[in-house]
Amino acid sequence: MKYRLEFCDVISKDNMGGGSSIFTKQELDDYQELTYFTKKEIHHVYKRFKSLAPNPEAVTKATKLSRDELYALPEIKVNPFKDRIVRVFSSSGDDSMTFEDFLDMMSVFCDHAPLAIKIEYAFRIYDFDEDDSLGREDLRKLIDRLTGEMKLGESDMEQLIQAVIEESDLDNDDGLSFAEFEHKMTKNPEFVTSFRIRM
Amino acid sequence: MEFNEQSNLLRNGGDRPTTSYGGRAQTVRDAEEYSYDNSSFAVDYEGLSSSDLVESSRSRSKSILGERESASDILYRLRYSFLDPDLDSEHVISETQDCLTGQDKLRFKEDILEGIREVCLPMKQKLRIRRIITTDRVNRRRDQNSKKYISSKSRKNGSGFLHLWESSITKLTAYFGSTVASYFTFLRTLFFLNLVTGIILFSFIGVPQITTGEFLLDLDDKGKTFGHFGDLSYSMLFYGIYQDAVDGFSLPLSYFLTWIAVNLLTVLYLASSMYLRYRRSKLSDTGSDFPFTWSMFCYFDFTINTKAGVKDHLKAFCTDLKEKIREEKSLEVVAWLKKLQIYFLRLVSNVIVLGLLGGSGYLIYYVAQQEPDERDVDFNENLKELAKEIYERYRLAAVVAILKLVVPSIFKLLVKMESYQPRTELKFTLARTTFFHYASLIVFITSLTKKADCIDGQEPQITSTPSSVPSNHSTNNSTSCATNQCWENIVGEEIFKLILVDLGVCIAVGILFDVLIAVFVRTRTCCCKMDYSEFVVTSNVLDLVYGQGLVWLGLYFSPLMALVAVVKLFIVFYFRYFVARFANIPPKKMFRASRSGSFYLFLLLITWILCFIPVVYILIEKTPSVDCGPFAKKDRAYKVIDFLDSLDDLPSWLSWVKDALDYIATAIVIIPVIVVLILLVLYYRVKSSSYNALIQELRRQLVFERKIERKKVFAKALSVPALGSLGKTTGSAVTGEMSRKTSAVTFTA
Repeated sequence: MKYRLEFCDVISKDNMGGGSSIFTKQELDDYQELTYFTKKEIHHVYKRFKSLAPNPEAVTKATKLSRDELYALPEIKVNPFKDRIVRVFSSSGDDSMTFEDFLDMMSVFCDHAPLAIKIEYAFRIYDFDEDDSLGREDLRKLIDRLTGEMKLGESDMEQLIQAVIEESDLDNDDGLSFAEFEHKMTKNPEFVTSFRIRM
Repeated sequence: MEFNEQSNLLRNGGDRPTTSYGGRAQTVRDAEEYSYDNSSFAVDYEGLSSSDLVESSRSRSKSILGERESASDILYRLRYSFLDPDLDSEHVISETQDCLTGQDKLRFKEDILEGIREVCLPMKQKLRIRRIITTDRVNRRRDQNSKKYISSKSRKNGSGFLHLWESSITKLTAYFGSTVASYFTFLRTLFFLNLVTGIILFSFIGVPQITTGEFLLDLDDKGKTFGHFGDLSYSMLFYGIYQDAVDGFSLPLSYFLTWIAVNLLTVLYLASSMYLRYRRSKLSDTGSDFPFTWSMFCYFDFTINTKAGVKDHLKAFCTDLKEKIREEKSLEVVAWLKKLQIYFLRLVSNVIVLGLLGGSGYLIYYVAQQEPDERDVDFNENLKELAKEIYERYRLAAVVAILKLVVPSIFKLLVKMESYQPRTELKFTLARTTFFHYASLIVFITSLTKKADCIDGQEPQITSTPSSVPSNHSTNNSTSCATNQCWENIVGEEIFKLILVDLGVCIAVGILFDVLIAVFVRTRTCCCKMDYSEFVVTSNVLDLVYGQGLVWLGLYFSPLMALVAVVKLFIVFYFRYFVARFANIPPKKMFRASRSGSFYLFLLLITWILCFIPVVYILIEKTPSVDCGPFAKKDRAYKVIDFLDSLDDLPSWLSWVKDALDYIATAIVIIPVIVVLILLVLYYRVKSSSYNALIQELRRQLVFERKIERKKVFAKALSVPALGSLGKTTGSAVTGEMSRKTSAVTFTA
């Protein structure tokens, strides 16, 4: 089966030798303290970033990767939410990311990021219309993405959305605000294990 | 949203479009205020009007709030800076920083630096802020601080020994997701646990034995005939060889104490890791409180990054969701005739389950009581004889292993007859299978140790061998008999046999079912529509726990059993890994608790208790065999501790100690102690359920408060004439309770 081969083809961790010439000490310190990575991991992330660029040799810290180049990253290539992820973390808002945005993204998804920051970004990712609340339309789009090819019937969808709103909406505004979302997600130990990407 | 509307009305003309993010800040504050002091919900009208983000120059807000913004205020504003695109964070920070001096300044910088990581800003902005803070710092201070930060973050990079097999597990996670990976990490934990146990036991028991130079017992001079494994039986693997006299080192004491120490260490490790996980997960509710919300937002596993993996995962999600929706629908009234039928079927299946349990228990007991023919395996004989001999030796182990294979599958079939919800079905099957495993373990060990209570004169061939010492014992002492039978060795060997057979059965089943089916599907030999078999996490985990229980049972009778377990786990890991990679697909039904590792640890803990108690009973009640092992000369194994032994003959003035200890052990004391413990447990249960009720009550109150607040705010907003003339007019006034934080926050609405 062909997909078995694809599954085996995961990029393995490479070990970084020197490579400290790319960043100054000050920059490395800053990155280390602003993200949840160690210096070695930062170099590794930089290497992955470089590998996505069309010509890796010309990559500097200021290089911006376009959306399609980003979509080629194996860890998010098949993710149903990849467009939202790229949009949320792109600081210029146009789906292109510099290295710093990329580092930020990987830092939030790494194992060591605290729950609060993950919840914050998860909320932003799931908020499709960016109105700071997960309304019915957001939930509908979310379900569509998650069910993939097997669409849910209309009545099932309605029932599901209604059930979610009933469970979680405390102030009866027909949507989940951040506080409600946070309240539910902190109670669930699975959230941290599912909301992570390992480099 | 309500404050949005209000602030719209407050502004003259309302020409600036406000985003609807406005509601967020207030709701965050509300959610954080769990003390239902009404004042904390009251709106600071003064703060609202003055710190309107469009017009607020920093000086104006400062003058009205009356104080400088602290680091936490600034961080808070930064966190919600997406509400206000005009907020010039660097300007704010550099000006505040300039106003401070000395210690305050340093503290301000530290606070900002510590907090800036947690704020959701783009990296560029965070870097700029950091530059501002660190530019004019004294070098000495910076070095100190950077040391503090770096040391608190020194983590291993995943390449240490404790992360053995990490790359393989990552490869599996890419396709199967976190649930299957949790099985392998559990396997790894067991591997390390056994390794540590084995090393401790070996160094305290094995090494002294090695120094005596005796690795194998010399058969001839003692004329013993025990042992099914040939030379291996008399080796250090089993109890029999350990001596009771080693120069300068009391091996019996060491044997006993090391065993106790290893068990205590194990239980400490299990209990502490369960405690830590429990605390981390803050499980205040059970898993089924918000099924839909959780499955919507937490189900999707971002670690899967292969196309096929995502497809299967989403398919499982869809099935799970549809099941849940059906469950909701099916909570309807069923006709009473159908109900009767369902209850009858449930009764029947429970009776069958009980019958199976009882039957298998008796079968194990019966087979264990059969005395095997003590003959050596002679490979020169013909095949039939050979097969018969192997059958005789491995009879008990084979029976236990086959029962373990067959009975849980019967349980799975039975539970379908009972028409439960799918989740309940899973729970029932799991509970029954676990119970069956434990019951079989207990029956196994008790029926084996019945052999220790042997009856005189049952072994004709033994009494015929000439030996002076044993015959004395057998004639004098009626309780110790069948003297040439090293019963600890026999028990140890049976357990070892069972472990081997278990491993063999596991591999055989894996090959027969998973691999063969995979071959059929790939080559499309079978015309029927078959799919790969699933990787069933629950039954694999139960197998692991069962195997570990066997090891714990056997640790007393065979000190190196832990090292055997290490080898076995190594083999199992690679076997399962390759089967999973080439022949399995992810499970269609997700067992929710399997993602949190504390469930597995809980199973392990129960298994440990169930395996510790029988062995302790054996230590206390049974006499060690007289001619082999380190406790040969003692009446009871624990008497090797001199203090406990010398209890029998204390000086008269200390005899009250013995009397006291005897008294404690009687039923008069034990039963009240047990009753008190049960009462304590009940008390804590009641307490926790009352906390749950409190949580529900508070939640209701939260909803209620919001409704009331909304109505109040609307009423106020409609009655307000112009900007600035609000103030403390109408009762929802700011009270002294208002914290600085709240006042600095409500401006964002």
